[in-house]
Amino acid sequence: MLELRGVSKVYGRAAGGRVEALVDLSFEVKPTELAVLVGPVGAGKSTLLRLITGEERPTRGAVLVDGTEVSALGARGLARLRRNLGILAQDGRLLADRTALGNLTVVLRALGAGRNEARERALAALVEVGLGPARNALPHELAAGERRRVLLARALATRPRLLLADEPTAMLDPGMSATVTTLLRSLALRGTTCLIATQAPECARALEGRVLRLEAGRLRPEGDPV
Amino acid sequence: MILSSYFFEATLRACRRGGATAVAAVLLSALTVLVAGATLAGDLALGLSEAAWRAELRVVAVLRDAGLKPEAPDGVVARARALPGVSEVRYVGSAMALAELRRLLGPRGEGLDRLPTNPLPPRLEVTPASTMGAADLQALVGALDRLPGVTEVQAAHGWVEPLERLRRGVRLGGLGLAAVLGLAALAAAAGTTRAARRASAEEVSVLRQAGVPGLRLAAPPVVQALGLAMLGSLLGLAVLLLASEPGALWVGSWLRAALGLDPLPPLSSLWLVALTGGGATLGLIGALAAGRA
Repeated sequence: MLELRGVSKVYGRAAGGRVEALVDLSFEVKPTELAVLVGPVGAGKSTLLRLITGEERPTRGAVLVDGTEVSALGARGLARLRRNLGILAQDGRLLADRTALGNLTVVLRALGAGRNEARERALAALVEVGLGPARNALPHELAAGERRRVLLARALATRPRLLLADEPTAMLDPGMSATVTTLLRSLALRGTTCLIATQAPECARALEGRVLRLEAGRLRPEGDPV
Repeated sequence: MILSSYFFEATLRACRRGGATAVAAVLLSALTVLVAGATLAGDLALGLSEAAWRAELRVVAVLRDAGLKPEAPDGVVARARALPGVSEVRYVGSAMALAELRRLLGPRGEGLDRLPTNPLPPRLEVTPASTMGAADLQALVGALDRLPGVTEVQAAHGWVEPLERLRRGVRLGGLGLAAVLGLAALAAAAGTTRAARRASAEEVSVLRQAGVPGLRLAAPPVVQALGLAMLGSLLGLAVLLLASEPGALWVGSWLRAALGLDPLPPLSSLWLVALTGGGATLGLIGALAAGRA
């Protein structure tokens, strides 16, 4: 499903300004697998997710999704790829003038779903993240954790084959954090491949997935304790 | 799936997001089409008037009686016919001229029968080509005057030059104003496209990340500008058609009273389609000129 072959990402050119965000990463996430990318802030987790979504290109190496090299895709190919991805970015934003439900339906409608189908799927996704009662709330009426869950619901509503989530439990209280990790585990069980990036070791343990430890842009050997 | 109901909703949202510039785009497109259409109708009316007057226009070359046999005027007729811009030449001998005058005067012309001699000279009635301008007509008058046997040339063509000036003025003024309004409509269409794009930038970014095809995201602001300009064009056309009937009656009655001409003609459906299409094209060009967000 997802494969990285010797992926490196370097920012800047000058000797002083050169930053190696990712160094020679190679790993594979198999279909329906739940992989957890654990590492501290600045380890390169978000950069890696942006390479997978095609927002950035690797300096060296290749990122393959379903056997297709992401950096080789044009605008159309990238759009096709993203329709199979559910993306919960760390800096994900909600549309301020739309309700929680509206933030989901606009995406589904733009992707071709009919009005009723979009509403049903959006509502189901909001219920799944525990926000059914808040469906008509505008983003500014929601707490930070609730907004984060709306973003997660938006990523899930498109029924992605591969879910990429950056800090999905950030800003959530322990109870809601447990709910979200349970939801992510059940998604993997239902056949969605998941790559979850987190800096919280307890979240990584709760997810019970294969752990990939990232430190200063390098993968530590598997089997190291979290 | 580009033409989905989402697409129409997105286009309507883009119209709303265009705000005041969207209204300006509609009004300016309407004014452009109105001015262009009125210019066209005015020019068409003047053209028809000119054609009617030209159909009556004759240049008369009065011939010397002596030396020309009434039945053998072939030489001068052939020379006149060979002049540039001559459509038709008719020789009218002295006897025929007198007979025509007698017929024209009717009972009041009985005195003509008692004349000892025919005082009317023979003449050539020259019909100039309908496309001749004032300068060419003047040149034709000069050329006829120089023909051997011609004593005098009479031509009531003084109206041609002022009419040419009037048509040029109507065209230049009307189309110039339409061009200025068209440029303003184009700028408004570009403005409303930019405003719609600015207002939907965040939504587009979210949808792009979700994998919505680029064309589906880029098309609504362009289509809204096209739609607004089309709406404006239809509005302008409606005003033109509503105003043209009473206008035609008023102008037509004035023309008939002053010049004996028919009322203004209506614009053909081809012109109506061309005007609407032209107005809509302004919106499309404006939207494309706004560039991609």
